[in-house]
Amino acid sequence: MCELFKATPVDNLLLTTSSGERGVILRNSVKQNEVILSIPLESCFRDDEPPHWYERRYGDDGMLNEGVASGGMLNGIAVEELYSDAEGEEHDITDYERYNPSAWASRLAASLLDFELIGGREEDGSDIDGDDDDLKSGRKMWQSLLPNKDILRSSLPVHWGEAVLSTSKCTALELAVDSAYFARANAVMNLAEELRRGLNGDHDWGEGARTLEGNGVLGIALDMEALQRKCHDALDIVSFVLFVSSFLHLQQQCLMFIIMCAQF
Amino acid sequence: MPDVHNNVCSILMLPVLSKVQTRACRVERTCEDGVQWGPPLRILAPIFDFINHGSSAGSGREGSANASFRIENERMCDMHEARLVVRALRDISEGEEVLIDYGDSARPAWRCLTSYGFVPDYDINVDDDLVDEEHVENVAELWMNGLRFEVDPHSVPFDLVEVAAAQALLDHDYEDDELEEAMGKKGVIPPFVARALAKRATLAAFNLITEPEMVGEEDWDSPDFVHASSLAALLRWSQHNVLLKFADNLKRLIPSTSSSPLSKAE
Repeated sequence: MCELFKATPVDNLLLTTSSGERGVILRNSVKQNEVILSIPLESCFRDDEPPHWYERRYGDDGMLNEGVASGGMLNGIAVEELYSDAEGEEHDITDYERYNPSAWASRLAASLLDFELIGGREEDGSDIDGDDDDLKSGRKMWQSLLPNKDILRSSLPVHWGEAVLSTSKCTALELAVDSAYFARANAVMNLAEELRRGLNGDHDWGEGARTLEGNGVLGIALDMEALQRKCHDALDIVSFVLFVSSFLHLQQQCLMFIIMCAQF
Repeated sequence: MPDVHNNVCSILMLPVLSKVQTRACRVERTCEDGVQWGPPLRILAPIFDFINHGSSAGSGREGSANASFRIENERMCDMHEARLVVRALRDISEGEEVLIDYGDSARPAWRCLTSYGFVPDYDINVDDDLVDEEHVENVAELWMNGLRFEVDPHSVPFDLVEVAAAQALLDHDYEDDELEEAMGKKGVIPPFVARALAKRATLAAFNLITEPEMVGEEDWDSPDFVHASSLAALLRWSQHNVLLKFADNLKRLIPSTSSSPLSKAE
């Protein structure tokens, strides 16, 4: 894999499960400050290089920018200028949209999805060779070594049912899961919308997408209205619960204050 | 969400997002002179993403991070030659596992579980001087009088001391001079408060290892349920240990023979 990704050194890391969990061990000792692994960014998926079909039409809140969608103006700035890929603008430090967890996760997920759907083909449908071939072979090998989706799903509390979550007896975990759930819902919506637009375009999606499309799965996935309606319903419920819990919390604090005043 | 949408999200989007969530890392864009020239970059780096997490407390201890990572060879607005580089923080022997600190998203334990899907095995007995106040790893939540607090073995939130003191005052009828003596110096936890907190933390710790009450309907025999439940149990065990250590450290603040009338009353 190191050779395929042009990582160095190529022969000092070993992926092992000797301790019961998968990890990376050294084949030869290294001294302090020596390089253990060096991998070119070109070999990595980057959140500032989303695939062509992912047009970054989402704002800081992860929601769709209507102005962008219609190709209009946003705060007086031409949309084309704001999202231009021109040299230099890619690295605009004031591009706060990049700091949004939902937004960067969506961009990286789009890159991964793009690789999974397009597979070993170039975007113009031609065959690939040379360095790109190595990179794609490496990525395929890397993907084959990732945990299977069932284990990943059961490991992440955001996918747990209420019964399991409650057995953790940890309010912080439950709150974190609530936050993660809605960030994820935004990301799913963004991805699905971009994917739908991409599929409607003249992009060649390769075998992966065609199989999904043939099964009717993709069409259902991209039924955005139903997906968005469900998310909004859920958000309404959470807003109500937060209001009630805030009120109860305030009551408790007032009570403590009154008790302490009376005592002193 | 209708089943059909659940299924489709499972097939397409969620596994991809889960991979991103558990494997992506954040790096700063800085040029040679250390000046940040752009927003943080999030990357999914193959091979690098197989490296496990290690504690940041106490370099050289078992389970602590022995390597760090950063972007090298980058220039202002130019990352074509840039590489993600992992370097050894100390000498590492042949056959030893490489560990990096995943950062604040891996502490405390519940955040690590939410972010990466595992419960870290942080050393509960780590020395006081090795604990970085900004990166406390061993944190547990403690409820007192309906309010939630986060405690770690080496510090007590001031609000919690106030709540515990108020409760103790409610439980006993003290004279003003007795109270003044018991409250002691500013910044020092009075023995009667330390005792009340230690008792509360001990009770909470044992509550965490009692059989949890199951709510809702789940497929209790499925491997997914068993795996998720074992992680929830590991989190409870981790919280249990933190609370016991917290209580233990508080008990050291209580003199064996206290002249405080409140301590006697407690």
